[in-house]
Amino acid sequence: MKKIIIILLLSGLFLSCKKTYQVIMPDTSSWDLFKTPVALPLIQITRSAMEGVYDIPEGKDIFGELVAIKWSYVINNGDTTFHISGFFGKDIAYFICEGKQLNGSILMNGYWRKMVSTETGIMRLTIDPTDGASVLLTAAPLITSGSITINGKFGNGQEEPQIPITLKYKRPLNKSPAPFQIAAHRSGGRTSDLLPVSENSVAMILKTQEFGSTGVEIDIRFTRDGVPILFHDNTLNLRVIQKCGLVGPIENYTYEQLSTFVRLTHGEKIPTLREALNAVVYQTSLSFVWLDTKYTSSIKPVQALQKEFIQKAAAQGRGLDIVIGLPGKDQFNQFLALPDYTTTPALCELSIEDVEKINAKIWAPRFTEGTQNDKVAVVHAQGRRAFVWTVDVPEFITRFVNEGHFDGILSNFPSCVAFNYYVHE
Amino acid sequence: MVTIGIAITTTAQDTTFKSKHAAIFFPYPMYKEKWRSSIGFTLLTTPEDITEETRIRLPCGDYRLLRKINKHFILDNRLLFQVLQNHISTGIRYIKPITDNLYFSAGDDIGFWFGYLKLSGFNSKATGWLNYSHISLGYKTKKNLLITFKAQVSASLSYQAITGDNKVTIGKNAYNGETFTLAFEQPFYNKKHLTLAFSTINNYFYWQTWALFYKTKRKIFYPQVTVGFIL
Repeated sequence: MKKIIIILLLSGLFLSCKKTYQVIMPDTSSWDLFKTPVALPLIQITRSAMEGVYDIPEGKDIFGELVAIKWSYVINNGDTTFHISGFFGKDIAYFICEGKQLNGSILMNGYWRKMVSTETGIMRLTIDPTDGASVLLTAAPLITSGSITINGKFGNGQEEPQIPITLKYKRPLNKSPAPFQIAAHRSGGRTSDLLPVSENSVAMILKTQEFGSTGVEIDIRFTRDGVPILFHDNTLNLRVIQKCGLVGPIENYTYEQLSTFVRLTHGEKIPTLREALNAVVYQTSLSFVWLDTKYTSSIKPVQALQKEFIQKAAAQGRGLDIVIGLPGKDQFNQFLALPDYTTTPALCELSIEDVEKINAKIWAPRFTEGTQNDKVAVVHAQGRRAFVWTVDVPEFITRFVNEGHFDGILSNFPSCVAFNYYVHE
Repeated sequence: MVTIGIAITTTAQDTTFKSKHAAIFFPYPMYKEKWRSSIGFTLLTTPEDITEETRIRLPCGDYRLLRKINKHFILDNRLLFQVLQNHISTGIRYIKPITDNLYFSAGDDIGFWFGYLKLSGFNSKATGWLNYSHISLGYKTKKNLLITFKAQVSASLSYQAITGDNKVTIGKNAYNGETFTLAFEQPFYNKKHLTLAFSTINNYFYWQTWALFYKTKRKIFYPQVTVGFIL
């Protein structure tokens, strides 16, 4: 008996072993040329003209054959910050830089990352006047294939960039006639993917456009005192929060308690749904919010916030869809209990019949059922849209973009969806 | 290393040790018996990277069947079964006694795994081939406790996943990772031998997780415990 107890204890202890993974974000502040005070921000016309699909004549062994380049912005305290992102076709890689103009050249400074691994490093890119900057900096730039060449260097980790990379403009980004949503899971990205900000935080909502997202899926739960907040897991746990002494279901705590004692992995507070929607409407250009229902109580408080922020977005002149996600029968029945459910924008993950029953705007099947083009056609014929979730395998993302007829893809890797969508011909 | 090299050139045989029903991991030659087998289970803990909220401990049936080829070679067959996903492997092991207490083996196995999942919105299946190369060093104590250290590297030979009408095939050979195992085997109850092994698996892909997450280029750490009853 003694032996058995020792064996069980030893086995239990061994099976509890775990490894901590991390990605150390490179410090990008060491490029003196970029920091020079005479460097100026780029104007909107230049930024728009830079967007496109580029060949990678140098660096393709690391990043693949093509890169889709796109700008995004966030507003913080009235200041707008622009980022240029490049979505590569290999290893779910991307770069994110800020851009400036200096002495007729365009400089881009930032970092690259591969989502399939922990690889990252500094990325510094330049467009010389003779490589297209002089055209891009005019009032009406005329861009044709081969007219922009971006040269630069990248490094591994904190190393000074030494490895050359060249990007050559090929064609404009793909744009489908109907809007296509690149929706990012967990408010824009998962903590387990070792991103610099925490999942389901306001910081992630503000960051996710840099990863290529045009929309977000956010997970909603209620605190003990009825405040809708963003949190995915059933319980407070060290996967998503820092050590704080609180354990168990988040529903056991008041918002005040959570706000005081709990911090997400990267130090952010757990946001309320109001704070999250406020960030979406007033600080980003995101055009789609999927309110995933992680609770089985009344949907009314969430519906009220949905209405309020749809109106606020409209008042801002923003085309913003906010839909209530219904993943199961419990939530579906709660939704049916709403007096005006047929006019409340919803996304239903159940059958097409259920979608029709509640007049949901969107049907969203799991990706494991395949492209289902016949069913998507039925949904389209009814004037609804169809999204597929949660597609993370790059080969599947390529297939859904190239052969599927969905209007949006939910993924933990929005940069991969962005690459496939923007380079699609 | 030199010591081992010299020692390998000598042949030892501990005739006092009852090898039958004795060892599965331990590199002990099959002098008299033709077959040796064990039945048991493995327990693998999935990391938070995969299952996020809950660290799942996946139990898996484990049947091993060794077949003597000659004094130095055995055929090592293994079936790992979880009904919805299973792994079968076969390979040859070369065994060399170094001294009465120290034994060495080297081997290479080929494994095929397959899984399917068709419930609540899932319509997935996957298969793959893997190659395992391994060496083991075994030490037998005076009380006949058999301690084995096994080092194994694996290569992914092919991988195919199908969900609905989508199919992913990866055909190229790729290094998959390494596994280190410390195994203990000894008479435990009613003269039966028990195997208890602790493995640290550092793999890019582990077949039991095919339905749980995307195959990445990030090595994932899995602790695994193996319990076996030698028949």
